Amino acid sequence: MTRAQRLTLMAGLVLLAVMPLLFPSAYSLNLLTQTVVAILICLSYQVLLSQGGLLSFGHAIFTGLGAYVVVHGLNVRFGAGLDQWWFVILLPLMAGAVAAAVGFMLGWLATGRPGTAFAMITLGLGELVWAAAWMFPEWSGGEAGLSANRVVGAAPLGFTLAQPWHLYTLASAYLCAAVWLVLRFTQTPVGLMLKAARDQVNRIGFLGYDARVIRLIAFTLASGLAGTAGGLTALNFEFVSVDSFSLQRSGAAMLFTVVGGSALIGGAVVGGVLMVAAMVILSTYTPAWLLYVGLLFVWVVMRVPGGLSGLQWLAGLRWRSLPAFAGLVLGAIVLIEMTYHWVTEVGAGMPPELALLGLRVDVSQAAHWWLAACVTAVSIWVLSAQSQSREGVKT
Amino acid sequence: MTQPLLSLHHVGHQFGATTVLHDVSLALMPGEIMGLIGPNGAGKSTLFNLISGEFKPTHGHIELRGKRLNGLPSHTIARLGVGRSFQISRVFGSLTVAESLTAACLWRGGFGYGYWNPIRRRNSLFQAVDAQVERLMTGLALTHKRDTPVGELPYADQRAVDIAQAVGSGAQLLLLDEPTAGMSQAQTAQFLERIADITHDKTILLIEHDMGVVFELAHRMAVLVDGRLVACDVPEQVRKDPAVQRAYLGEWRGEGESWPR
Repeated sequence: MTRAQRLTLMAGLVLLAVMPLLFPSAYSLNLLTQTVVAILICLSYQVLLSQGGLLSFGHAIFTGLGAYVVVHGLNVRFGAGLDQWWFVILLPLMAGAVAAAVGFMLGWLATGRPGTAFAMITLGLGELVWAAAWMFPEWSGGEAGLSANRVVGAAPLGFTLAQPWHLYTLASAYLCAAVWLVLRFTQTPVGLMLKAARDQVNRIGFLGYDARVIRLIAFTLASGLAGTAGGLTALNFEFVSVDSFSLQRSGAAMLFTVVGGSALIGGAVVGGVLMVAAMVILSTYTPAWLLYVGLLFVWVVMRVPGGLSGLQWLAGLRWRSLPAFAGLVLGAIVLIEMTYHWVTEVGAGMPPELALLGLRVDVSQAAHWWLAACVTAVSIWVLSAQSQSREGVKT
Repeated sequence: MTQPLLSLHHVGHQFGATTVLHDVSLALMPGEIMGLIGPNGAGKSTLFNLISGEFKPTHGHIELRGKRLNGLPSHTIARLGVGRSFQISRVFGSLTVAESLTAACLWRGGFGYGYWNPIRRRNSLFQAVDAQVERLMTGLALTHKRDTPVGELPYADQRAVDIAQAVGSGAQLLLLDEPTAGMSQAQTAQFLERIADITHDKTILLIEHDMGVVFELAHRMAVLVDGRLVACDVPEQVRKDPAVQRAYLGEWRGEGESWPR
């Protein structure tokens, strides 16, 4: 490991320790816990994507499975005399072990071929598990879900998991262990061959390694980490439903990891933070959040193929273009929000005004539409003129 | 008489209804360099793919030191001691030179798939692999580029890494598919000098379009035309062979390939 990497890891550890002191309220601690878990989900996906170039559409199988293991484990413990703090703390680890075992079995099917075949098989398996969960409502709780109670009685140092910071500490500890495990994995023969296979999958067989075994081991590791992340989610919410297996969850893991980028740890951190920012925070402000996520995804894939954590994209920014870019973002947001408000709220008989970024907008007035459209159009015109003049300078 | 390292017995191959190889029988003695020549589409690369396990021959069988290779997966054949390079380089573009060569040496170095065998200086297994990687880099004069991603290397260096990977995998038999393709004559001479050091004790089957190179390097030459072996002999005899000359004068002259007199 280089010095820069070591320093970055140390900074990450300090940040992990300092954040709960800066934001000690129960709400922000809960957000932080969710962020830590989201980072762990993206990290597990990075093992497949950044290391192996494998695109899985079935990641929710393992996060969902981990969540169910924890909820069932919590509900079983009362009858089994396992009402112990250490049992609850070890549950996410068990979730990881179960998910890894299932990952090994499903991976046997999925890893036969790389590329599109792998993506399609994981997609099919994800749908299969989701449908199976609906078929066994006693086990899965169906749409209504299952709840559980994570709080134990007496425990050393009063660590009862009742307080939000207890859970934050637990999730952080699991994240640190996972980061160590993944970094260690990159230094193993399988880790190196996985990267080699990403570049030239048809070469590693002639070096004595079976590409399928390499993929299977990576898939198993990724599944195990995803199971632990899902288990921590369930421990946090004390609830799980079949929604945990949905394609949308798999898609979120993939989407935010891609947006985060190809840097192994950095990409996971950026992806995880954005995942919580979008799915937890932004979604409380606007029903159009998924549209914004989609736009961000398209922009990253088109303009920043290395992902946001690569940071090279920052060097490509032009200060001169910033006002027009801000105008475009503002105009587009106002237009999108006005459309959403028009269709969903006004259609349901609500008043036509909405408060937006400190502005009062009235969707019944044509002038407001014109203004937003003009700001957007002028911004696009300025941006394209600027990019053309830049190309003119080059040639 | 010593046992051949590689022997092909009546090997044939079909893609659907198209027969690309008919009844090819060959034997390579340990330490021998055999040139494999023939017009485009004669089946040279297919023969390589059969030996290295990418395809399974539809007829006949292939033996390495008397052990049948037919139907074995390519990673098993590689472990038995067959290494190959490719007509179009298949290098690990984002891995550095040192990483690429390490990857090639791992299996022979006893690493296997183990999680508990980290690629670290402290690991005694790795020290042996590292020494071999250093030897390969020294042999190819690539030591100063050890931390350069292979994808950013000049073309000749990438070809050299490709061959060094085949050597590093512990192969006794090297299948080299046009190692000097796309190089000028000066580059070719220089390149062959570079790889001579790391390949001197290997048995080599060499596909090559540059006739000067083959006639100089090869102990024996095999000539494939339309999937059939029309000659297999020392270079002097092959040069005189009427069947070979016919194939060359008929087809190769038109493509501007040189036929040494």
